[in-house]
Amino acid sequence: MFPYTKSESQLRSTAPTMTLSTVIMCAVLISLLVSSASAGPRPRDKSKGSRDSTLTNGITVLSFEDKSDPLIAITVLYDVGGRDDPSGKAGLAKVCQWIMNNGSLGYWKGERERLLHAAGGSFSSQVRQDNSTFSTRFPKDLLRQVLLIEADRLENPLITRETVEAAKRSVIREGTIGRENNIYSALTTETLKQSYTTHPYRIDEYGLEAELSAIEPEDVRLFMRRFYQPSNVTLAIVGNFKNKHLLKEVVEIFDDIPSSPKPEHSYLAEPEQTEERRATVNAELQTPVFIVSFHTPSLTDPDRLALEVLSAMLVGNRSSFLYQRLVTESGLCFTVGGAVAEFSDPSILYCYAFLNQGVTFAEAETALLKELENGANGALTGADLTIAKNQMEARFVTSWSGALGRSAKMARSFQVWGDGMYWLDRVERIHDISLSDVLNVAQKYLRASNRSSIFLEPHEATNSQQAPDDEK
Amino acid sequence: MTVVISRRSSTKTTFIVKTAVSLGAILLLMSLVTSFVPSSFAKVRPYSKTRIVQNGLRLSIVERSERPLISFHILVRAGSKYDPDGKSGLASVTAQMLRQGAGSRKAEEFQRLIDSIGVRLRIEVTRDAVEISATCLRKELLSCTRLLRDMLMEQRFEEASFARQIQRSVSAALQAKDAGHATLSDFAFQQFFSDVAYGNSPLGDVEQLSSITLEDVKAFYQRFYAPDRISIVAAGAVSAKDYVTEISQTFSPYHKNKHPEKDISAKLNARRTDSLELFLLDTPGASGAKIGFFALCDSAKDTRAFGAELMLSHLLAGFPELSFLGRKLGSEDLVSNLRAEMPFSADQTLMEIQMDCTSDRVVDAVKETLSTLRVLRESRISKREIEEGKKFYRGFYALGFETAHDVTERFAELMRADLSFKGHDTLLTELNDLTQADLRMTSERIFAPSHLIVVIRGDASQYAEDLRDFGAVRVVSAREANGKSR
Repeated sequence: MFPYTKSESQLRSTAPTMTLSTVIMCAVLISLLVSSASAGPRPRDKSKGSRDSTLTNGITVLSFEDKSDPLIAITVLYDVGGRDDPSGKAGLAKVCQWIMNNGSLGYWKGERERLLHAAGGSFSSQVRQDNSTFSTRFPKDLLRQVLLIEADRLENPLITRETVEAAKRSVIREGTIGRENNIYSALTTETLKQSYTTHPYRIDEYGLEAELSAIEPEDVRLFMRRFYQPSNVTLAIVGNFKNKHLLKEVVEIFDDIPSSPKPEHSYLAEPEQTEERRATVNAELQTPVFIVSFHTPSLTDPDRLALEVLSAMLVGNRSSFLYQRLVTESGLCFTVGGAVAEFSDPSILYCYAFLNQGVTFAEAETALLKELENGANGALTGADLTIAKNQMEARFVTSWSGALGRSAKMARSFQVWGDGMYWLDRVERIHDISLSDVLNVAQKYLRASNRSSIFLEPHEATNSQQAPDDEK
Repeated sequence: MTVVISRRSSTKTTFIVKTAVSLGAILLLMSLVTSFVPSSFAKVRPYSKTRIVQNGLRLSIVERSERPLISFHILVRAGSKYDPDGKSGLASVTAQMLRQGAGSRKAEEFQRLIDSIGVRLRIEVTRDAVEISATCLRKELLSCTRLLRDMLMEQRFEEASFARQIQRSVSAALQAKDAGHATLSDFAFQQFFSDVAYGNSPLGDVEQLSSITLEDVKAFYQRFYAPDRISIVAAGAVSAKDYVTEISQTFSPYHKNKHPEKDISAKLNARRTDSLELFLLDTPGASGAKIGFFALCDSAKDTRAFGAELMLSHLLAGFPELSFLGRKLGSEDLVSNLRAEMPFSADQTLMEIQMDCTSDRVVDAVKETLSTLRVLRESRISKREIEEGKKFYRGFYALGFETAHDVTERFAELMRADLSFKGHDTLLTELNDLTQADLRMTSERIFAPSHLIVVIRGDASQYAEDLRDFGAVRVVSAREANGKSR
């Protein structure tokens, strides 16, 4: 969810490297995770070249023929993520990701890499709370080979005691070191813990070391049999191919893989929050930071898009409402940011603020809450709305410009709305949102009883840096 | 049967044979030539127009019409290596001031314009340059062009904005240390270039930032922000021919830098030692460690040598499962997040090889990595592996121009290395021509103990003693590691 949560994106392309110091707070990247829209599909005429098909075993195939692209990208989405980890086995979905990435019965570990390497291709995989995705980008003449590899790892993953133990070690190592290397992960962890008392979103995808250690090969086998099977798979393919030929090839390669009914997600829903929650975490840092978060509805709820527009108006850019007031005008913070976390289930809208030197948490938090209240009561203007919409439109067009991005968006779109091209309606839907829609959701969701506030303060905090709770 | 060949037919036959031989030779020659410059790259390279304006501004406009947007990448040779003594952070403050009011617009108004036309603007300061990337929708191209011109050439430098910027820069420098993203490489640069600004963090030193004045910023701007120090690449839904003219005219009223290049070039003096040094940035209690190997590369502007460095970084840890280190460390399950980076740079720079591991594996990971580097220096890489590396780069560049953003990224690499906009051809040819001897020679140079340091962040007490077998070990508190600037 948050950028300071260690991302599992493992893009193996070794492009000639460039300067890459993205110092800027992890949280800035959060905005890139914002996505989604609300309500049901509407008619459109922009999906030329796209085709949706379902194989007899239940695999959904979304294809988008685009001859202008020099390559092909495939995203295979499994409708299983951290939220599906069984009780006492937090981190199991991450273990399965490792298994999927390390060879299968028909392709030894490294064969896929060798194939892609020789062609300048790349691949990546991610386990999020709501899904697991495996993406590949390659020249068009490798299509059949890439499909064969995807089919084989779906049907024949190598689940042995050795592979499971290696997977557990890797997940524990990456989780532990990732958290140690990212000082803000404590803020993420605590925000999830405070926001979710029951729902599995309360634990990040890396799970818990003690629970990971207890995972047995049989746990992996059962979990993969349930979730890593055709009826739970969406195959999104974008780029330079002919739809007709592609589908023929996909049927030939995938249609014989045995399937079982699509699994249900079974976990407890989050009860409604009735009062504000607060927590303070100490860390070795010099720049205090805090997060304020509010519960929001699920991705398919009609209010969700208005909340995303609200978030863009509040913290989406340097002209945004909170940035102007807390950074530019008052100088209390050196940056603010936030987004609506891209969870399928009821999510959170969050704003974070990094304090300038000498500013106390009490000062910054009071100002932030006051401005949120002002915004909800009408201080947000039509001009703020226009800027937010323009920014969101530009971001959308950019994100839709590469085959890989499109295949990922199509697969996710199908998972949530049952329509792979639903994203194409996003721009119009954003422009349909009115100022009153935004103010309505602001008043409805930005309530104290719906709020959690987490403070990350230096170990040896002086009085002036202590969180408001501690001062009381 | 008697075959009679008349003189005439004989002449004709000879002519045909000669023609066929000539054609064959031409075809053979052509196939040889095309095998040197990979055809896949030539095919995918989109149409572009390049121009150097009279005032020295370098432009390249690339047509990519699939989406209604334009992606820009601008490089100004005004990076932190030009920070004067005692003013570490001046380049960064100056760059961040660019978005705070320009032309006829004050700070808030200017920022509002950026956001209202949907421009996604990012300003990053590196040791070499200021890099500005921007993306705008096609319908906002005119506004965006003027905005970029004002930002670069028509600065206002208001007092109120400056005071806020200093406060933000101090907080940003502190926050960057908290986040620790650049800790290892910043520390390595500090060790190699301790006498010059190149060794400092581009974000600047907290104490020195406070001493920077608005006059310093204005003077720095005057000195370094001139058209002949700027390169612009734009890619997207534009006519390259028309837009190159338009942007040339937009920038033509501005004059060349009056300071001779030799007066403003940064002096680099990389420190070299006789034996390997290992720096342990101590974070007591940590259960994991981040390890970085940094090799001094001084091939600036020598495309062949740079190609060899690029290839070596790729062969070492490019595709983790296939690379030398990936196979060695991965098969023993020693590390995670193995990666190697070879920055494109116009100056001396550092190749980075980084990895994560648990504290109990640090010694083995260091031992195996150093042993791999030693093997590279002492023996030849097999021809097969070099060929695989070449295949990768041919494929990489064939796929590397997919979107407007990809195009500007590829051109930005050339700008960083101060190569011409046709540099991809040169670079690919050099990569394609690399021999075992080239890679051996480069390995001998950059992986020599005098050119290499190891930096490890973690709980030093758990492995410091054992690491002494490999070289001189120095333990530094992680908190203070990035503290001082020149």
